[in-house]
Amino acid sequence: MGNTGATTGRIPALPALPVQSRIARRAKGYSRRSFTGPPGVATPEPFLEKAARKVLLLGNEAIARGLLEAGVDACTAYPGTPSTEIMETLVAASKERGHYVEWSTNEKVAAEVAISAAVCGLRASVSMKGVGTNVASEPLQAFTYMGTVGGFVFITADDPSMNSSHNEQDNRYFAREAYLPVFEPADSSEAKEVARRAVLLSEKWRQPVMLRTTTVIGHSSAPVLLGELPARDRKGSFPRDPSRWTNLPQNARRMRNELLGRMALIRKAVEEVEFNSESGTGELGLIGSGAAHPVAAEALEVLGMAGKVRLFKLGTPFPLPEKRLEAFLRKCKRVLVVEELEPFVEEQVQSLAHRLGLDTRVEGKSKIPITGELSVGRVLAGIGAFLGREPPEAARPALSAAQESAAAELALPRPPVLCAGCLHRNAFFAINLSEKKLGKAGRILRPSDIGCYTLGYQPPLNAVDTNFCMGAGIGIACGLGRFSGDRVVPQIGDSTFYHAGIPPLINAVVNGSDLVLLLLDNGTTAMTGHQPHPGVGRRACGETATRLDLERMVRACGVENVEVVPGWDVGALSKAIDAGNARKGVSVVIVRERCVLAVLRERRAFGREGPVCAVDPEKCIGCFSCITKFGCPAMRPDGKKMRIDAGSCVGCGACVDPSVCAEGAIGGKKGGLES
Amino acid sequence: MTAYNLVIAGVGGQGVITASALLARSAIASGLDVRMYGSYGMSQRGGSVSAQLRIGERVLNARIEKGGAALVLALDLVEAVRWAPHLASGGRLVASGSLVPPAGKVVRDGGARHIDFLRGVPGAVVLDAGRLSGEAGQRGENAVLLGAASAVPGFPLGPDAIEQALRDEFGARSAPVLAAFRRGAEALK
Repeated sequence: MGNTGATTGRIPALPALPVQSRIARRAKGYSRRSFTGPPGVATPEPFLEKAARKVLLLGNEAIARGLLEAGVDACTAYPGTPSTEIMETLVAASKERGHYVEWSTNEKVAAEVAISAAVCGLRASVSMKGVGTNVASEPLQAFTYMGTVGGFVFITADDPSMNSSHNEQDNRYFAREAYLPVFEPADSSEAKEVARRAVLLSEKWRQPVMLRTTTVIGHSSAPVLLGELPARDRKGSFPRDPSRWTNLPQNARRMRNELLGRMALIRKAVEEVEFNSESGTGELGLIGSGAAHPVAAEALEVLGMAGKVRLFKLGTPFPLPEKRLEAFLRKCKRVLVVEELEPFVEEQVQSLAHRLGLDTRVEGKSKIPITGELSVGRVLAGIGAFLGREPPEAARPALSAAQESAAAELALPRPPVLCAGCLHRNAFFAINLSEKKLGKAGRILRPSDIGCYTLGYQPPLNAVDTNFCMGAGIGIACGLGRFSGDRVVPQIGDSTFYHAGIPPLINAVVNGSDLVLLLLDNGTTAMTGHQPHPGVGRRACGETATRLDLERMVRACGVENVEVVPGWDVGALSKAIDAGNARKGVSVVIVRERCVLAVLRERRAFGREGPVCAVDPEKCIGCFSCITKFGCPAMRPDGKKMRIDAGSCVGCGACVDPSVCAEGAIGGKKGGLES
Repeated sequence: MTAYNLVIAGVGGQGVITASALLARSAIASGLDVRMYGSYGMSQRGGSVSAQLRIGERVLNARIEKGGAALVLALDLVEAVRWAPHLASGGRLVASGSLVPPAGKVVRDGGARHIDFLRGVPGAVVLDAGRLSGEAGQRGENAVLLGAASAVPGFPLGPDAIEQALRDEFGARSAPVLAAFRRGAEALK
């Protein structure tokens, strides 16, 4: 490959993919269980089953079903764990139900599109992972001042324990600040009904609301009793009313007072919400909020105190049902709030008790962990101490302590790794090659971004220096080179680039940063399961869409040095990085290769076998530097030689490059993945 | 009746989630309550996959803690050892004798040390699930382990209920699956 800095057009854009995500595939009629019935008659998906049936639903499917039972008209989202299955289910149901679905460019736009539906009097939802709330924040904060016409539910999937997120952000605080009434299901069984009621109450209250889930709600399954799917006959319309929908200060001041008036009514209305309830007797009380309620209830059973302690099940942590809690507090001498993460309910209840002049002592985080998901084992000591009861001897494990430590040693970790044939490995390997070429002359800093490629952090690549949030790789790179004096090679994936990478790239150009951006173009949103993005040319249900051209996008941001390099060619990638590093200003290297998972799916569907690379044992000297520097999972040590596992190799040909094996022991076809 | 706690563990692609969802549906069909908490997301990238299943007349929450599982089913020896600490005293652990090495790792003894370890765990048994399913004409090993589970005393779902769920799931292709299921049940009797 030349390093002329010109866009050659020799590497065509990736082919448009069919809709591939797991649940979305079903939207096209590929039912998982379609072969159980007569030929051609698909069994309905469980989330589309008839009313009065009890079916097993994933919590996120249950939420989607609840929205459908509320007759939702428009649903938008940006994918992110643990929220993604909500939208995938809504996409799969859209053919039968006819509601509008959209994977939006980012969470902010998703919120704006859903808001526009609600403004037109339609029922709307927008869903995202917890940190997506930060991106969606601004339009939501404007909208809560105005109030809604149609029911509007903002769904945030928070992630205590950070199973797949970078913080334990508790979005109940955002809701309080933005005046979004919050609904929290206690478990996945209740989630359907909470979602349905949230839409209807939002419409009744004329206020957008938040449905907050956590990983255990969204990703656990439970029996759900289905309700009716109503006919949908609402037509959207927009009566022109600029003073209502334009938040110039003169209007916003009025809106703020109207908002406070609506909230005063909502504070009364939450007293009637059925997701708040009380059980038990006695002078001691527990308040279990959301997913913490079933944990608290089971802990009471384990302690032999079920029914002997008052237990308040709280489904609306903001605003609180104050009258009901007042009655609860008046019956209790002491109260323990059991909630995940921050003392959000605890502090409100303490404030309530103080305001009412009650002597009831309210505790919470002094006894309940502030980090991570709660479990019975994690709350037992705290609840036991509160009740003055010794926890019973913990369930006795079958293993002795010695066996347990032996198990820890034998249980080899399986950290997620970049797939065999993944273009990201090649890009990181190329950065490492380029840094090595610099020798003592300098080093390369590697700000990364959100996607599969964050796995470049792992050994043996060790090629990620920073990671903050969507789009921050470029934004951090703008200053990192300037302030550290080092060269910077940020990386960003194609979906993340469209989501949040364009403003920082423009910033780098306009403010004169020196950097080489690796734009990792695998033609899909790989990490969350292959949702379409603006460069794919497909919409949520597979319809053909206008397809953005990445090179033209980058050039339109003012970048002159744009080169497209095939993702398998590590040598050419490294040369392109070197050329960029030798220049002032911004260079962009588009690293292009399809996501290997998509290629493998096609090969399976068409019964094709791909090429495979192989090691010549005569040439292999057993140095294993291919494994310790490149680290493709298809490479296996086999005695004193290296071997390529034919079942794992996808034949991308990247490892044939002499930079991976200086002995030239690896043979195979160069030229990337074929499907 | 307290909930019956079961963990199914394996590696991406082995059918952990399929097997546990099948048991969960079977529990609902048997009029029982159930919670299932599975791992999602990382399975395609060589990660471990597990599902926690709680079955009973009323189940409050979805998590099973260390020392709390009456039964651990593992489709892989490494995963069997990983989840062994979850086994309760008096519980059973049924593992397939096969081992998928983690990416970039070599297990030179093919899992002999893992099998040795499991021999020392009270209530643990290692089945040649690959052979049993092969004899039944079935590629996956998860049906064998479901069969074994159905033969464990105290398991809350009867073999008939699980066989029905297998027929519902696999339709015309259910014959080898049912054969594998029955071989698994036989192996544990």
